Amino acid sequence: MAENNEERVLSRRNIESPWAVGWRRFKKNRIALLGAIFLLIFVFLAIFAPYLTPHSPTRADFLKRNEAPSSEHWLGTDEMGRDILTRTLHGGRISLSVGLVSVSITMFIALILGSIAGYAGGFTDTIIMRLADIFLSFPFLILAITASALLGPSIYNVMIILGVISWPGPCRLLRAEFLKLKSQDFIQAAVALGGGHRRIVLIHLLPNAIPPLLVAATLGVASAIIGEAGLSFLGLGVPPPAPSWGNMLNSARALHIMEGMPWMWLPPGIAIFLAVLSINFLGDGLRDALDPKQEG
Amino acid sequence: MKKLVLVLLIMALVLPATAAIAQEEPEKGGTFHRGMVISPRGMFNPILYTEAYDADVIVAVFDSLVTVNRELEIVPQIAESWEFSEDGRTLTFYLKEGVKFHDGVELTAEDVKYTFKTIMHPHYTGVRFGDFALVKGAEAYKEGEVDYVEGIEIIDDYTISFTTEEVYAPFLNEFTYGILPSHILEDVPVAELEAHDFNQNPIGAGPFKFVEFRPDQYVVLDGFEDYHQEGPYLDRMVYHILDDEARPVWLRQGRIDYVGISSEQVPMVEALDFVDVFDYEALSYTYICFNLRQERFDDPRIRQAVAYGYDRQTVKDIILDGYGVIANAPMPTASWAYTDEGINEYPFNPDRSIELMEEAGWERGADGVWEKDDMRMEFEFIYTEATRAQEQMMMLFQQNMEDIGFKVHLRPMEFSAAVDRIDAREFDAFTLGWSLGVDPDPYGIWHSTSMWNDAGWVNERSDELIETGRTTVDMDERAEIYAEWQRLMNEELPNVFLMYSVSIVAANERLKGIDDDPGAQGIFWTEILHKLWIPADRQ
Repeated sequence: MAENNEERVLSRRNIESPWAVGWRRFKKNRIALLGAIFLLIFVFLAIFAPYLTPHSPTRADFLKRNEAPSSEHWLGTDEMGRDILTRTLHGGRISLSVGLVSVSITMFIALILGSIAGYAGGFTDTIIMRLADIFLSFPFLILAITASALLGPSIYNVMIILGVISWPGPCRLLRAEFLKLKSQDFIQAAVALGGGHRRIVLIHLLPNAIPPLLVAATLGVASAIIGEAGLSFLGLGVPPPAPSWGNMLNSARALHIMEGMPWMWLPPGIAIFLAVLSINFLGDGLRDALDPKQEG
Repeated sequence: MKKLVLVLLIMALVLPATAAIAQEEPEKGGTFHRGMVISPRGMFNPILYTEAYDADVIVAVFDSLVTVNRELEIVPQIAESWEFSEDGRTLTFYLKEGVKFHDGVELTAEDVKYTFKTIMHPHYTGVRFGDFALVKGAEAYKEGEVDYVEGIEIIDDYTISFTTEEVYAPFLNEFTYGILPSHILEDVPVAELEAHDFNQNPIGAGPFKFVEFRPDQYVVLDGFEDYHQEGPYLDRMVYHILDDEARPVWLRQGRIDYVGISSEQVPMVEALDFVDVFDYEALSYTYICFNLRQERFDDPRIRQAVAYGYDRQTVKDIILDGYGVIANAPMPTASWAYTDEGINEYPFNPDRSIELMEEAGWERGADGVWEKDDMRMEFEFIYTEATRAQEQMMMLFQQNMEDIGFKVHLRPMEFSAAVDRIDAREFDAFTLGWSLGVDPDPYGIWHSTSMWNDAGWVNERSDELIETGRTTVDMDERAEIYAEWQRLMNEELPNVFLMYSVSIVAANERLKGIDDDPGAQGIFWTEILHKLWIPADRQ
């Protein structure tokens, strides 16, 4: 017994943990690394937005409306004389927090329902999966627009709507992972050793199912940002005067602005593009890095 | 009162009109495509509708006894002529013979009687009884005491007279309501008229026949071959309901011939060489209405504080690019009764707002919002989300109010949803506009008993002036009464008045028969709808 313990300690030192393997692989992936760096920059800008520019994101000053970029307003001003740079930075705050919060909601639901479905199986599984099918069979926008019309436009509602309607994907992923793991020897062993349901799910199954879920969550942030932009563009998302990338695009959709004042729509457009792209790169990188079947 | 029609709000909306000083000979055919930003509700009944967007369609489908010309004078339409009796209390109309409804039945005095008697009926659900309350016997009929109206008399098929209890100055103006076909409606109980499907399939004697209405999409009317005047030259008139932003695009693509536009769109539209842009001071104004049934808005100083605190100069100069006149009373500059004598202009002055609030006994709470007893200056503010300019005005309003300790929660709504809330009196405050009739009589909106008195304003002096005004025939005397009334309104501010609207419209040059020097009615109006035409080579 004592010898065995000795051996386990030794092997722990010598064998890389899966996370270490993942990080080693991830570092080699230039594009993913670039995505991560960009994302960090976005997060930094969002957190420190109030200290980065001297202007208010919501206070209108009609004497300065529609100004082209200048040394005072680096990216110009909008129709109400508000600084576009400031609004883009603050918009990033809202877009990123909508992304994070709604994905957290999604993951919370997915984690619970997915675990139950995958572990319990049988009738419970059937019920949960059919529920997921029902959610998946509605087009995203229709559900989102209906929910938003019922709840009214507000940033919290956007988070809830986006969070609640995207759970089926990750839920099915988690369930599939559970089914796969359940039949593996180490789980059989845990069961044979008398591990309770709770122990098996929390200690053995979940940690091993986390990597694919992490990837799904990362990519989920990207789609939530797009979702928020879409809803806000339709006037159903973040209500003015609070800036979000989506409602900045919305307020720039008049013909004379599209044609004559690109500084109003380029910054939020580029911000959405870069944020979503970098998150997707990061997500792809994570998938490659964390997949144990890949050689590293 | 008058045919004022609830409405509009946004300056850019539209109403019709043109007069042809055409040397060219009109040609028949073609479809006239016009744009509107807010959908009609679909109440196409001249005695029941309440919204200007419905009215735009109604005036083309229904003709009335008299109508209004470019100079806002009353001119014949179905009535060939009319005369007042010696004592000024009896008005007799002589109808044109051979006027046909769209189903081919001739319009006679019976139809005229049916139309106006219905307004006085005990079960009538609309808002226009006030216009005819002075007709002899109208009250008795309304109360159900008798089953006839003493003051309406059919002399023969083409002659009908109306008698009032006392002299009633705006009386002739009340006959601009379209005439309904009694042969279709006389058996319908008046209480059920509002829900009757006639309102969605109207038949009138106007220049255009109703074809189809798709809410939020379009209204289609066809030219009526048997119209009683010249024309109509157009085969078809289509009202397209389109988004604010889409207007310049549709004009550019030639998909619409006519639409109201907003000031920021002017440069873009003027750049089109086949589209002309016109502007004119309309008989309309925009305002903010507080619900005076709530004690916190009851003190006039509260409304004065709002008037001083809202930067209307910026609204006019910058948001509206100068298209508008700051309003301080509810009488448009285009009206003959307008006065600026003795009118306080409430120039932008936030310090004055704060003084007024303090005088009224309010104190600022911890978050800077005014409080008094258990009341608090925090309220929901309804507006209709039709145009960018409107959006900008609201943002400025919210910000200006915050600066003077009013916390405003903006609530954008669809027009008809907003009107429903207002009619139910379920609001704190809102902003809309009124499009007024030609006669300045303010009874319909401002008399304490009127159904359109949304603010719930009750003031004895105002009622007295309004009542005297409508029974005074002498124009100068009347103008003096209304001037005093305007000064009272200006002092009390039952609404905070915003702008007398300047409408801007754009028309494709292929549309002929219009008035290119528009008066208060724009480049074309009800009187000349049937004279609009499109050259054959451009149809």
